[in-house]
Amino acid sequence: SQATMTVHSLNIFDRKGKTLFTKTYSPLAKKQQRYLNQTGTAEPGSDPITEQRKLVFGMLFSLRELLGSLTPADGDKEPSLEAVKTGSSTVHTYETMSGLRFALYTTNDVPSSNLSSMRSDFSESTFAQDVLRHIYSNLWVECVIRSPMYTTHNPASKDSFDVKMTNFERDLDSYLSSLPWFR
Amino acid sequence: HHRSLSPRAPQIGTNEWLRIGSTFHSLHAIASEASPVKSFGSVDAAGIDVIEGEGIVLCCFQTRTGIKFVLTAEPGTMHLHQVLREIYVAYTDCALKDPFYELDMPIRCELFTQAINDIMDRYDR
Repeated sequence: SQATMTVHSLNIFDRKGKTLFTKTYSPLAKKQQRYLNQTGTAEPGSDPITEQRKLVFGMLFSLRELLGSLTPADGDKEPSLEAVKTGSSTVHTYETMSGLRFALYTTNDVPSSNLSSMRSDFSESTFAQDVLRHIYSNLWVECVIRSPMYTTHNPASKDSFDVKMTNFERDLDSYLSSLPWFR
Repeated sequence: HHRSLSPRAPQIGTNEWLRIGSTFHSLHAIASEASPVKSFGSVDAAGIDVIEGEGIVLCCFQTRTGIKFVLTAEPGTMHLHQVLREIYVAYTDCALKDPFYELDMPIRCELFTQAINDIMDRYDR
């Protein structure tokens, strides 16, 4: 039912796994993140939430490789990962040509695409793959890549470009709120 | 146990299957850890159920003892979870109840192979 559909979190990683953006949305995820922060373990200098994000990146990276080995070679498409569903949540993932990776955690009733085995019966579904594409092409590109601060920052320098200096989060929140399955 | 069920399936040697199996086993467990939300239900609910990629879908059924049945298929293929459950039943009937089958050894039972053939015939129609 539409009542349960929700976004838990969004993470954006660069091609090396560095977190460029992270936000937790659902009250349930926020509560469990707080719990994890208090009770989880981490390397010195890190924290449980950062460690969990590393797991997300590593898992998506390895699963994509795995899927590549299992996909028929006669297809005309590059094998790519779209969604990973467990008993508790689904992570929808999208990778750009430049290696930027989006990971959107949702409840298990949010369909990935029209071929998704997770699609529910109501016809007005918004597919997670389309949502991620929109977030990249319309929001990230517009707010971040086209930002004068981004074009002038030195990628080699230790001070990384800070997404918080753009309107990305504001526009993202606005877009997500407009989706039928956001709570 | 590994088996190709379609001519389009990639040719994968036994050693690579072992590598794929052990990688999947780890990732299956990691997926629960990586999730920002955990359900506190039974152990059966933990781990990867479905992986969707462009051009492929992977479906996994895990038993209470941790044995994983994994199927790959064309996206949009129906009844994958049902097929996996039937394969599980075939496993219990043909392998587990076979007095000569040793647990955790490769499954090479003719009855099991035939049971899979039968399941595939039924679902391909």
